[in-house]
Amino acid sequence: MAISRFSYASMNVMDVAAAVRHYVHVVGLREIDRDERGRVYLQAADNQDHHCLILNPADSAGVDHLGFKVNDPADLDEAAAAVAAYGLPVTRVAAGSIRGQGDGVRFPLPSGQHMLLYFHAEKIGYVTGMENPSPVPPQGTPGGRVTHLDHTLIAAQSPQDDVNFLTQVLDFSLTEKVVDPAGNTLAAFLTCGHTMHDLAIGPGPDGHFHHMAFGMDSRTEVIHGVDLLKENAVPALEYGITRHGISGVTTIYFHDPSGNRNEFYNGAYLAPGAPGWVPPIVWQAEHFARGAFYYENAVPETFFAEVT
Amino acid sequence: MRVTLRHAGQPELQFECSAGDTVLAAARRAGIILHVACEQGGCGACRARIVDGEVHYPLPASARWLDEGAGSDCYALLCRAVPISDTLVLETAYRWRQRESAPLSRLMGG
Repeated sequence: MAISRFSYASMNVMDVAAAVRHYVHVVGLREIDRDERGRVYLQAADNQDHHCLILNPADSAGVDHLGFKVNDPADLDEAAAAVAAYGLPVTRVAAGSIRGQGDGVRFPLPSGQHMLLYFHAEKIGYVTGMENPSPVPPQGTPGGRVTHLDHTLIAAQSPQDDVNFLTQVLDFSLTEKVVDPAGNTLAAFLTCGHTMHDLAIGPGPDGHFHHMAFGMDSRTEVIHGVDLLKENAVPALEYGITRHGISGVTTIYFHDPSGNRNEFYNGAYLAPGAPGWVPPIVWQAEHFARGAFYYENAVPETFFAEVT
Repeated sequence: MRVTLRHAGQPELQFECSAGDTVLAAARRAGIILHVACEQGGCGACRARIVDGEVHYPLPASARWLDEGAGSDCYALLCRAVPISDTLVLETAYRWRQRESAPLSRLMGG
């Protein structure tokens, strides 16, 4: 099994036009495509694939599914068998039913959010082009200077159930975890690629979405992003710009026009290694406030309660 | 229209809401700071139980937060809920604060 990375989020939004404005002019994605179901596909500057975000018209906010790419088409059959053997229901998704991508395998995590694995993605190229490119996007490119969709955090009533599934069946590695005095997992950070998290699990109601993070090249770009949020009056978390103790990144959280939480961030450390062979950092619950918000040394009461 | 807020451990509070105003906008005008986050009808931070009265939503509110776990209860998202009954009684999930209690806010809020 070789899942290579978290590649897109398929999000439900209640106002597609407002969402597109937000993700293009605030976040800084490119609109790539629209389909007959009214879905809009967007991609960040430094990714050649067709999309890193799908916006679905819906009556509720939240996540429809999370897309992960595998390294080999044969991984799809292997994953489908392994997930089914674990006891979770698997459905096949036909090539083309999601624009720009090939056959997929879809299933729920133990906490209820759906993952979709696929291999083939249509190529649209980098924002700077594929022939003799300039090293930077054109001046005047709207929105934040995000390079890529980096990771996502979802809510689970029992984060350990998701950790077991992701590490035992899908070969994710645990890079950091938060434990209570009894040793129960309160939050977990898992990687399938090169950086410290592709998918994180936090405490909260099953089936809900906490945030997706857009990576930037430097802390300076995050500061520029905050200026953009303020100029556009985008509702943001009361904390930030700040730093997480966990992962050490510079960060700010804000909301899209349907309340789905976004993050601008920079600076995740590299965590390469064979699955299961890089021991995780452990945070005791009493130190979690510093791990979550390093400068404030406090967690807003509702940080994990506000989910879509 | 008259809105009543209830929350365990806090004295009951009432304020006026003009026609077409959201509960959040009316509360702010009355110097009451409600717990909110996205202010766009999505995140559920301002979810409150409707004890009595009716609201409607000129702008979208995420259906899952109105429905999820509601059973026979009825819930509202206060950042987007506009009262349509003469009285509206709400039980909030979080404590509210009053702006008068903060000296700087009193200076700035008038």
